[in-house]
Amino acid sequence: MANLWSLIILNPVLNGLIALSSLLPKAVEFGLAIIILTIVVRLILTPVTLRQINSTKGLQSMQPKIQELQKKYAKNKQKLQQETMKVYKEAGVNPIGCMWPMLIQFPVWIALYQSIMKALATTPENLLDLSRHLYSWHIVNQALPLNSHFLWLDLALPDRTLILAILVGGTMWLQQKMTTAPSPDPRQQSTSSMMTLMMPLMFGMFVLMFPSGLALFWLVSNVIGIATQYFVTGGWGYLRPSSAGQSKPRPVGRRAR
Amino acid sequence: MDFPQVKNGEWTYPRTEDVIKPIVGSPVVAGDTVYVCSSDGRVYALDVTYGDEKWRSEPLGYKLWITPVVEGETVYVSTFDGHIYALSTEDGSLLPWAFEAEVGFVSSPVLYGNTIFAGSFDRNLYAIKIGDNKPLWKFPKGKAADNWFWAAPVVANGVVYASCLDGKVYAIDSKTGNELWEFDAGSFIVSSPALTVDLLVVACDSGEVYALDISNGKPVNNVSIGAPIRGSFCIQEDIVYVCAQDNCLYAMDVGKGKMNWRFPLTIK
Repeated sequence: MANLWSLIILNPVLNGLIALSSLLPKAVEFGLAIIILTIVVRLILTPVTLRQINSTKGLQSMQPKIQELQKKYAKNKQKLQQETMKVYKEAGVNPIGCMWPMLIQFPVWIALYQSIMKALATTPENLLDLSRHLYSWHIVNQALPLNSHFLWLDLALPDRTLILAILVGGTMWLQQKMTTAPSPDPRQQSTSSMMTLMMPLMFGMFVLMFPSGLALFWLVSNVIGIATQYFVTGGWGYLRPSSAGQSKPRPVGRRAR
Repeated sequence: MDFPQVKNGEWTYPRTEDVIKPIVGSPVVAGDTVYVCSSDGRVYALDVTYGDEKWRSEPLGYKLWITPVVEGETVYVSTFDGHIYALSTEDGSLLPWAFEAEVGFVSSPVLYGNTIFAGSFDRNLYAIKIGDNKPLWKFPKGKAADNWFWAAPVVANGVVYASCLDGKVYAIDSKTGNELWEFDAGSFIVSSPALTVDLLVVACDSGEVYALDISNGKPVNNVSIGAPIRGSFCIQEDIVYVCAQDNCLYAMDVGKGKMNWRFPLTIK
């Protein structure tokens, strides 16, 4: 299974990353390669991302109706389930429709993460392990070992200046704030507010622990996520309470499934 | 408790609380000086008796994970950015000759006569005559090998014995770069091979240790220890001493295919 993963996903991403590095100026090769590859991967996954955004929007637009049903059939779970499915069906929304695009993207993000960690090869053991994953392409072999310096960062080490931690945490908070709809249910609202705060804090902590090459990938990924969300939903979404009404999800049709 | 604990007559370097970056290659002793390379890209020359720093070189590239070669009044190092540098043993200054390859060197250099041998990231083994700007030869002559010549080769009687991460061991004519024979161990080979009078000993990541006939590369015998071998090993009176990844030291007579003893190195 591990061999299959390497053969189909990890090795192509890893070798692509290193080959890309060899085409870039030596001083910024790996940092720039991470940025470019993240953008390319996000572009390739754009149709899947759009589908996910539309599905999520569709589900959010159903919430008032679902909550009405929850009140109405509080004592009859079976009926509630039937009526809920009916509402989804009428609106042309699949409740698990926003899950599978995320599942498709997941292996690609893991491969990118592993590629960055492997390509940096900070110890002899890491370099030996890297040798098992490389293609015999001249463009790949001539790029090694990669220059891990980029701007003020050593991409193989955590960034101790807090700049990257603040940027990653900040962009993640912004992205979550744009996409998380306020809930009329106080308990649900409290949970989602907590999540919106906890996730960025957690990733901010990760930045202080993991190599900054990985944090750079998170940062670029967040920025692209924000831009995609901005242009697809036509604004800052639920970030500003005043704009929340304007950016209320439009009714969705069959395409959103 | 301070670490390391030093007895009279022993020393550590640096003596202050400063630390230098990790040392990956082995130190080399020549005369009254120890030469060692560090991951900060510098070569350090230390007094063998007291550990005093005699000199430290300018950074020579990105990292120096290699074992230097000392010959007469010159120290030779190979670098990740594709250089072979010659330094003065006197003060660590760079001597006029340096070799520059297109691709970085992955192995430590080995000197035989006036030729340096080193493995490259381009999956070739280079032979470089000191003073020349072009390699004497590259091995293999056609298509590159399937992986890097990670370990430093050994050279004797005009033959270069080089192990490769692709699992093969090659015997190469040191003058022409022509292949004399090859042996496929079928497993990653990280350690340098070692020679007895008539055998070449090769240790693999699979835990197999082979004794090969140096004249034709045919296996004479082998011993399996069941743990990956990645460090260098030594041979004394036909007994091979190997430290494996299971933190045990093994002594074996590979020529006879016999394991003598095993000693665990873990501290209780």
